[in-house]
Amino acid sequence: MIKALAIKELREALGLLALGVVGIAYMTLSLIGMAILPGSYAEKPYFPFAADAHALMQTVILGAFSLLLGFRQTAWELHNSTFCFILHRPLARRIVFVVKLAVGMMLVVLLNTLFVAVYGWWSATPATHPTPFFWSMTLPAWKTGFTMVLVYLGAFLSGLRPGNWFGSRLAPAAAGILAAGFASSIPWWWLSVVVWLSGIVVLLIGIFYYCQQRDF
Amino acid sequence: MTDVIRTHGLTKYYGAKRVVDSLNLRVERGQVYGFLGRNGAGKSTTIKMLMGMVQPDCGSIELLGEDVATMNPATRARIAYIAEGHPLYNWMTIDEAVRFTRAFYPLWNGTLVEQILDHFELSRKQKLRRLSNGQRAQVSLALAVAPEPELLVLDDPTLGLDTVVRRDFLESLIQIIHREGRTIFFSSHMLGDVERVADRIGIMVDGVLRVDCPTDHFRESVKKLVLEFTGPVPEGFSCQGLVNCWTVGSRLELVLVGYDDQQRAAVEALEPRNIEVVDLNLEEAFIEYTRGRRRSLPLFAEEPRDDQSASDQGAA
Repeated sequence: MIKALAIKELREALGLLALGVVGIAYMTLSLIGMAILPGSYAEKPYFPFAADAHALMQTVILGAFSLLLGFRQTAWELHNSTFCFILHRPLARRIVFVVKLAVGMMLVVLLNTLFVAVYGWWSATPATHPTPFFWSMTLPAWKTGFTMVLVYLGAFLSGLRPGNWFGSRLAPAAAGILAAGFASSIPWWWLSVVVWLSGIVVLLIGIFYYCQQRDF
Repeated sequence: MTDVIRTHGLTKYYGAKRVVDSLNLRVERGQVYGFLGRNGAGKSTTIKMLMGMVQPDCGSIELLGEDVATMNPATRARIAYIAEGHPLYNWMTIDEAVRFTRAFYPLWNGTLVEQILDHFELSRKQKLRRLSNGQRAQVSLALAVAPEPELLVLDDPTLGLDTVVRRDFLESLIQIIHREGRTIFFSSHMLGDVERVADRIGIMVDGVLRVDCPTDHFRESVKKLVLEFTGPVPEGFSCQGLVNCWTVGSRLELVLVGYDDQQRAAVEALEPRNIEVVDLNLEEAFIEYTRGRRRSLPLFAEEPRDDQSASDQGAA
């Protein structure tokens, strides 16, 4: 039954995933000098994974994907009343949410991994660009990617949490974005990890509280 | 007989409004229980609380002898629930929906699913988003009964279905009821449907369960009396079991529950010219019982015309 749930979640995320892949492909092509739209880094000497624009694009594309995915997995089900269908199946409610979260977090990390792997592979290939490249240079990109999990969880909680008005309902998503921004911008790794882990724990506590307590 | 559904003091507030008020409900094994009430009476909230989708503010619920709050998955597998509007995953085909739902149940009657889909002429390849409301209801029914549940809870299952589809749906439901020991608890606005299948009804009025009795008993208990007077219609009539009372011109119409000799004597004491006792069907009885205080109506034909209306008519 967990497999069926996971396949359902994957299937429902396919559309967003396709959009995310298109975004990542555009960003990667742009960075390696095959831009479809203006704003290419072609012919400009820069260190791979070190250009500011790449960090911005990565944040925007992955952030949008994470936000939309979090809402898709919760608010969409609420809107269509399909929670009444899925939560009546004979398994613990928290398992339904664990599977949703596992699939969602995996997709966020996977999309980032796709970007780092393809762009890293191109960067590691000789004669593609005039600057040196070491795989350790991908660390900031990994960091950005992992902080997007906070954005995803914030959106997931926003979609799940009832709110008297739109602003308070969006508070967890805003908190997730702020925590992600903070965790990715501070230079000390240990502090980033502390912020990241704390954010994840707080958001997960909120999610599991509301999945048991809210009215569906 | 054992109780399949039992609630005690079930209460739910939405804000300051008490939508379900101290509900004590008992449904016995094998019963078909029609749960009635006007819009906003608290039916759907009650059903959602029974299914654990809505948290009660106080009170307890037992389904199949187990507390809903701590119900284990094995017990849940013995309960089918069709939520209002037949929510299903629209991107799935019927076949995908069947395979997806089957994955959760140890017991699955594939033959029954086939029979229901064949009966309703549904192709497994059809996308759920392309189905009509009636077809979605049929798919929901197939998915609900396939795990051979002991208890079926249906929230307004015939809502939005045309007469023919509704009849087909109910006939299928009746066939399923005939399976031994199965209990059905369903809410509906279609009183004719309820009359056809339910052997017991409960009526919610403003969150309170006002009626809980066999269907025939309720229908026979509620009587409408039409009293005709030659003189002025007496005001302020009151007696035990009076649900509603209003005047229409020279007539006094009363709705009484449990019409007996004592009530008859009270009515005769008004000295009407004529007393007519009207038997009601379930729908009429329900309407009279739940419609609330009715305003007295003058007979429009006897309304004195004022000058303005008379001159309007003259102008016309």
